[in-house]
Amino acid sequence: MKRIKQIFYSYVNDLKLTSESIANLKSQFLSYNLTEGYIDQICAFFFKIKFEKNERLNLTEKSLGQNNLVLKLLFMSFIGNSYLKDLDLSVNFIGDYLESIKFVKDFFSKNTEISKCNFCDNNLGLNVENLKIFSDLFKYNTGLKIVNLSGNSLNISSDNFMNLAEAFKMNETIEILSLKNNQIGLNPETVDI
Amino acid sequence: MENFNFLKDSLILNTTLQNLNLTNNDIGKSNENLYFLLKGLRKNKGIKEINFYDNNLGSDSENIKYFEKYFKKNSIIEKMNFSKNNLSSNNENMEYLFLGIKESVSINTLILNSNEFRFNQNAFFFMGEAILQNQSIKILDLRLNSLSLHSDSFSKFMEIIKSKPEINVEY
Repeated sequence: MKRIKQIFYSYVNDLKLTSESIANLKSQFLSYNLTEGYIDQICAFFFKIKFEKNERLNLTEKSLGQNNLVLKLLFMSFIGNSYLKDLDLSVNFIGDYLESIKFVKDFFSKNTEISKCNFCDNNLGLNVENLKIFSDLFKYNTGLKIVNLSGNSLNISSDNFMNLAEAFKMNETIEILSLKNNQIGLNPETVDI
Repeated sequence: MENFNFLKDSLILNTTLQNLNLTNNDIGKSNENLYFLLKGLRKNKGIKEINFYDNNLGSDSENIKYFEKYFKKNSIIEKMNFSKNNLSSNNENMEYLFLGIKESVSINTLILNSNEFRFNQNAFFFMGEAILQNQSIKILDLRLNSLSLHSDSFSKFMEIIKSKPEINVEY
């Protein structure tokens, strides 16, 4: 277990969480004859150890969208963590990947501890169906008070903003909302992608 | 534009939102944007601060006319950022905006950076009239407008400000 911990920290200390590094990490874990489910639990456990007393966690530009395993592990590690209040997920291309969007939506639908989240520059509006799923988190989340949705191309299609606005109708906690740089005032047909 | 019609409905129902940042969203491109947005905001009971930075609101005075009505009817808004909105491009903008501000009972911070006020000498007439009547403004931010006390209209405005020591003007 000590060796596993060493391997794990060698990858996550700098949070260089690329798909290659995670695949490499997992293959090393597999060489210890551990099942994949068990490895996921170990990873989540170590993430939890690493971050459990942080009130703020900056995960900007970590390519978490395409590395949805890491996203899953991170969210697993946050369960039961009452310290973390401020999470920065900006610039992670989350909106480009359906699986990642689902993890985000499922996590925030249940989490009540995190009160501030930065979703800035994640291409959340580029895919109508993905944005619809993401928007649902605002219907169910009861913890977020400060949300940043800047620079997410929320006006690519006419349905995009409607889905988001519908979700906000049901939200009862957000106090500060940023919709900066989304070209909301334009007809979707004239929006520059 | 439909987006603001959708947002209007959310704003009418929402009771928790206090601060809304709408920076750089091309809102001034259509009168309908502001018609729907301010309709929602008039009925909203929680929003105290809105940022309209860089939306070219001043491109059409009809846009600003909606703000006149909004300021007269809303008693919750405390801080409004109209920076970089080409507001001084015509006298109607100035008249409508400051007629609204004159009667606002809640606005305490008005940010008007980067609106080229040095090119509109009437701006300070309307601004002065509003400041004399308004009882709520405490901060008026006029920075990045290249203002100088050598300008007759601005120096007259600053004379008016001297009679309102509770107001902090930055320029």
